[in-house]
Amino acid sequence: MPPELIMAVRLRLVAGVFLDECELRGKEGLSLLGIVDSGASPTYVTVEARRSAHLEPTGRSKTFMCVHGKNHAGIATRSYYGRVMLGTKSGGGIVYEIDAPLAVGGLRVGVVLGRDMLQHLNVALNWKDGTGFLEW
Amino acid sequence: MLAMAAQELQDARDTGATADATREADLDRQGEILMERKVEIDARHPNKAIAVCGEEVFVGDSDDEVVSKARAAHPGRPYFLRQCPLESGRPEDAGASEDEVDAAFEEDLARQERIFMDRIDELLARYPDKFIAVCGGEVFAGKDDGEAASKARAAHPGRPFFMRLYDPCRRS
Repeated sequence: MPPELIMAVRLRLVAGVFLDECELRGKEGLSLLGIVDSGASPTYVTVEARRSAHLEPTGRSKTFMCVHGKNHAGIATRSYYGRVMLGTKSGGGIVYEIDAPLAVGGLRVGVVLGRDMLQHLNVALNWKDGTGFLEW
Repeated sequence: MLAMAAQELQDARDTGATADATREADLDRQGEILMERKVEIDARHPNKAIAVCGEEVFVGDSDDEVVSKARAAHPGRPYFLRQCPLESGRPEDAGASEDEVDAAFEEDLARQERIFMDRIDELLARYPDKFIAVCGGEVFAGKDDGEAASKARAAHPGRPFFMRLYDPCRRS
């Protein structure tokens, strides 16, 4: 029996945050940086990233207010039912978009990968030596 | 006549599906080229926006610039964009470092929290079932977090606020 194929990507630690290169595909394709945020429940994308990929939201949406952080304090955020893919794994559920520019250490970020996506992967974050991997 | 219309509709659907599949395959190819040439592109054009369209690589200082170049060269074809990785309009550009801005923000936020904590008994008695925001030293109450935040932002645009979230489920 052949060994199980394990795919992994190495994460970059920038300004105390682990970053991964992600893809968003709509009518156009977009390569962008995403934050691996094991403390976030949902995954969300910036409005700018969604528009750049020419992805049109479908399904139900609602507006709510985030008040728990600097980057999205007081910003109205819309959520949609959608599907997100990372590697060969995908998950359906509520996808949020946030109308704010996100940046880490001067780098633009377009996606925050939350636990709804990360739960499908093996996540290894070693803060001590600054290394991180996503495996699937 | 009805059968013909149905057939025409089916033909139109087939044509549309084929066009979508062709576009999807074209987009896949542009993404593959970006991946294949990633190391070379990163080395030659760090911190630039890149678009791959029609098997050509376009380089520019902004996303809009490379998208315009790609569209002009290959109208109607899909492109794969690698965003310009640098944040534009960074706080440094305005004369203050990001660390200084962060520190000032955190200090202001901590001050609003202290004001709330110093007056917590009075404020909870006064607004028992409200969301309470403290911003710029002032207190704003609302029926929900949106209302309280809107009042705070209108009075002190751009400043942080400390919010007390009211949870009706925990009401005793």
